[in-house]
Amino acid sequence: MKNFVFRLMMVAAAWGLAVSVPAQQNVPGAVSGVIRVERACVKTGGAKSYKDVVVHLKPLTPGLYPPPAEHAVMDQQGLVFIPHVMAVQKGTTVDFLNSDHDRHNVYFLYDDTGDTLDIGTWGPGQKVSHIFDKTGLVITLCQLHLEMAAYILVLEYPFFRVGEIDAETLSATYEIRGVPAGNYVLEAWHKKLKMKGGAVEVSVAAGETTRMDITITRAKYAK
Amino acid sequence: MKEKWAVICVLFVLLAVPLMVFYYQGIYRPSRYNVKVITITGVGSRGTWTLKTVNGLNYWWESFAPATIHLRLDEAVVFRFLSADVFHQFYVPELGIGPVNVDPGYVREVRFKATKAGIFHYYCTSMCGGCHFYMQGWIVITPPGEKPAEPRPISCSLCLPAFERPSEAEAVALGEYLYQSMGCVTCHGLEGRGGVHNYNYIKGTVPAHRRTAAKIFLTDEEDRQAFLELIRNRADLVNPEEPTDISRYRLVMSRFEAAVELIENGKNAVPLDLAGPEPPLQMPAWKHKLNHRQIYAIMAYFISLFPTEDDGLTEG
Amino acid sequence: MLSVRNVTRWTAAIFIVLASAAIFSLVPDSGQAGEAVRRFDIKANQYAYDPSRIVVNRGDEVHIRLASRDVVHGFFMEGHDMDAFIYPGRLLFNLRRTSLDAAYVPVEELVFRAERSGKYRYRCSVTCGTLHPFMQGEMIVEPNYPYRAGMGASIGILLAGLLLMFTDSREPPLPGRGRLDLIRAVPALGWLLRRRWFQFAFMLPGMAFLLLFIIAGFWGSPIGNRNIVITFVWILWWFLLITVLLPFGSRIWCMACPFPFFGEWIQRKRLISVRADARTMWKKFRKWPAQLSNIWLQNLLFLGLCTISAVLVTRPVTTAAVLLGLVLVATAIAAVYRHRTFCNFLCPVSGFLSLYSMVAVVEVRPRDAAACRDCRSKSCMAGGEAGWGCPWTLNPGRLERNNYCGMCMECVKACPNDNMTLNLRPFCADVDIKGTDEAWKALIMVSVALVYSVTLLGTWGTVKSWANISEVGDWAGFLIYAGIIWIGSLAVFPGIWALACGLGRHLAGSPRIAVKTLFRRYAYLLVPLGLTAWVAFSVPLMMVNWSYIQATASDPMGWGWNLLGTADLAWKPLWPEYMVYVQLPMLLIGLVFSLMRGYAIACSLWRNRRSAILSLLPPAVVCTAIVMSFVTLFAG
Repeated sequence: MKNFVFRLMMVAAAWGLAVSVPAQQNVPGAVSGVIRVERACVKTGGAKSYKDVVVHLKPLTPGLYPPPAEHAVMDQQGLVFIPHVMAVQKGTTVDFLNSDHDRHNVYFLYDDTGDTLDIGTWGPGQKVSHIFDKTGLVITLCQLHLEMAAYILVLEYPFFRVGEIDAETLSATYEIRGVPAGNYVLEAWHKKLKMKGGAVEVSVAAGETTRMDITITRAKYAK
Repeated sequence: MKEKWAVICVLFVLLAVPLMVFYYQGIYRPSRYNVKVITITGVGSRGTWTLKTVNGLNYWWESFAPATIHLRLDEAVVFRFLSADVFHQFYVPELGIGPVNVDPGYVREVRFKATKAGIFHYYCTSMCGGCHFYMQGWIVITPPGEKPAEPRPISCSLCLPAFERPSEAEAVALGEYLYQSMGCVTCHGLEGRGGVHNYNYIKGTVPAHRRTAAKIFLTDEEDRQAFLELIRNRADLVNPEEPTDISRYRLVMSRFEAAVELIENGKNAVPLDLAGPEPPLQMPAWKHKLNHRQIYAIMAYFISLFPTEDDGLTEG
Repeated sequence: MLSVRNVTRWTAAIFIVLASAAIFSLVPDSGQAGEAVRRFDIKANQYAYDPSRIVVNRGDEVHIRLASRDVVHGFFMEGHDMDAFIYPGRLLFNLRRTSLDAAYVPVEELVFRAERSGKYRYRCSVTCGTLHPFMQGEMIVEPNYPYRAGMGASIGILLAGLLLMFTDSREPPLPGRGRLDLIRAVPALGWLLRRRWFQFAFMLPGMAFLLLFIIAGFWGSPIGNRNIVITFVWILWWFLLITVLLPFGSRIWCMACPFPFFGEWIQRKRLISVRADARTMWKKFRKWPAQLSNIWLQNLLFLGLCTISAVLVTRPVTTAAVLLGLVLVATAIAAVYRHRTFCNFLCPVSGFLSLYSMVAVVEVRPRDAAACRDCRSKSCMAGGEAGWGCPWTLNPGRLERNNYCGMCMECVKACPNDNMTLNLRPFCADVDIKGTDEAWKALIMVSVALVYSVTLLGTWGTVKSWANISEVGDWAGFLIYAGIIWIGSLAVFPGIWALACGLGRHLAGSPRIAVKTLFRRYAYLLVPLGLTAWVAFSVPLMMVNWSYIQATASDPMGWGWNLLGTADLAWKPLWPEYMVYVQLPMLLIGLVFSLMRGYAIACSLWRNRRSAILSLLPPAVVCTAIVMSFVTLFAG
């Protein structure tokens, strides 16, 4: 009898362990770190600043990640796109608002193909939505106000964060949460600066935060 | 007997006519106002608002200095606006005076009480000739007990003898010439550096033009040179064969055409505060004064202003 | 003479005129009575519109977009109840309906239907600079019936005139003989004319106005249409002079003119009474040289003023300076030379007053020529107790023409036999051109009327810029403009006239009469014609600018006064779309009188009526051509 109960407990423990181990495997990790700016001065104030850095992860084993149902929002106010830099997952709908005092136009320039797309001109209080279904950098312009520009980075996977470079420390911090365990390639995108050394490989363990500090610098020093 | 009366009549007329005219104008009429009267005359041919009396004789030869109007805080005055030649519009957005339509031959009276102290900018906001853009000046309101400030009068510098109009082939030089002689420089700044304050404009200052090349995606020096060559050599830029040496050519052209259209059709300055006064500096429509070649030349000038050492990091 | 023959002749003549007008109006027809949509982009600049002339068909829907190249301009379309306000540098312009007196509304384009045919001018309605009152363009709505009828009627009048001349059975007609003695007919008038203070009563207010004008010109506003010196001299006085005073009062202006006021006072040392030594005092004064005792100086001075007319009639200071200058010259001349030497030989106004006074319906003449022959004292000429000797150095007892009589009425007062009187008479009763200088004056006046109609009432901005020398500074253009005036008036037109007279003499086949005689005598044909052309030129000035007179009456100096409450009146022309219906009849009436009087002159030169008519034919054709030119300018 004692033998049977012991064996039952072992089976239960083994079963429980077998179940919990994969569950533990599904606890997402995170990647965080500091982005340092090297050998460059960066203007962090004003409408078209250089303070935004997008850090994103691309998994080495491809998977299916459905886009969020929630719409992203890009507003126009004071003849400026707000925010200046935005990152969205492919398939996200972005609402373009007009909270300004004038009519605005939104016009995309797809950086990789050079194609353009005009999604219309509308007045204050109105909005137009657009689904971004191709990855890449989309430069957003307004034909009525030529000085307006914004950058939308359309990414395949939902692992990204937009960090802001601080003027004093010339660095930004980032943390990308909800990353399933696995191996990734980490890349940083900036309007002008390049990641020193190129993209890096990062391993994410379940439930743990991997630290990866990166440096961005001018293109000629970025090799 | 009758002869004597006749002589008296003649002498009476000779004296009475001028006396009555000048008495009525100089003494009687001002006495009917119980406040100070300031007469401001717009002289389009000189591009100034002046406090001097403009009459049939001095209009033709006198150079009228731009008026700096000095008032004391809490002073109530009556402004009388006159025009010496064409239609002008007097506007002081910061004080809420105007825009006053000054129709030639009619006198417009505006009552004003100086409730805030400072130096305020007045403008002419109806294009009135070559000197229009310089037709600006200062109203200085001084609190009691202080010495009035003396801001430098704004005077027109367009009729300089050194101005010689370049030929159309030198697009950039012609553009620079037009930029100055048409008055663009008064609002957009010397060499396109901007910085001119536009009251209640959503961006605060009139747009600069040094980075216009970037706005039309000609950030690359080679692209810029190739595009300038295009402007110089092509009679018009409509439907040209696509050149191979300018990257993103179609985008550049669409942005270029948007810029040209803005210059041709003008634009209302977007106000910062919708309930506030309209910004005094508005982009006029130039399509009736400049032809396509001239507008392309001005765009060529803007493109040439892009600083070549700029790597885009320190300038917004 | 109401015989059957005469009634038939005149009926035929009238029929020819009407038929000719009708034929020209109806044939050729331009084709479609359109219902098309026509679009125009009209740009305004100082001082013309581009395009300056647009032609549409009746019934067309017209769309007009307006823009300005330099300053704020207006756009007033005659007869179409619309007035626009164009800001430079903006794509929209402001429009309002004048009849509603409503506020201006920003629009993109004017839209209207061209309902009535004719010529409609579009004018600038916002003071935009010196030549603003003359800034205009024209819209022709085809078929342009008034123009065509006018052209047809001109030719019809020529043909009808020839018919009447050829079928005329009477003795060579003399110009209207009837005279009405006004002093006898209206005793109150006689009483007035005999007062010593008669002339002074008119000259004193004239002098007061002159002083006011000079002050206004120098110290008043530089804007012409807001300054009394421009509006009252070049609109009101000019219009009254040409349209009323000259035809109905002869040289009555000279009676009231203030220019010689101070000079005459210095000479006579009296304003009203007559000096005891009135007969002998003139020895102290010189006589004007004989070679200059003609109107040549005045011809040249007049041409000189015409050359700078665009500057003169728009700048208050220029008019005031010219007025002041003329006063000073008149005074200086009077201090040295006797009587009204300035008026006779130097005053530019006097030149054309002398010529056109021949048309007038009043005259100062002796009642009984015999009484004058027997008169010993000749007080009318030399002076007497009751009146000064004629200041115009005429012999009133032998006065046959109005030309140099200044209507001062001194002779009426001085004559011991009460033999001088004021008569009412038919139009164009004086037909005798006595001097070549007068003949050339007739030619000059017609040429200048044409030049003014083209420059000031025309739509060509280039010509206005040429004439507007002190503002535009285009010396090459100004020299062309001046050249056209001087060469046209002194060489081209007299050349054409001489050729016509030469041809006429050839057709008449009589070498006994010199071409020079014909040139001089037939120049009278240009007198009624010239006067009506000037009236037709002056009428639009008044109809369009009438409101300026009202405004400047309240605010003479342009300083912001409002004496009579009319200073703020907006510019409002008086039915300018009907202007053509005043101008064309005037021109045609002038042509009728020219031909009638020309016929009388011709018959006085030739015994054979047929020769007379043939000699008249080429000059008559030239006159008809001149009328047709004016019809084209005003209505076409």
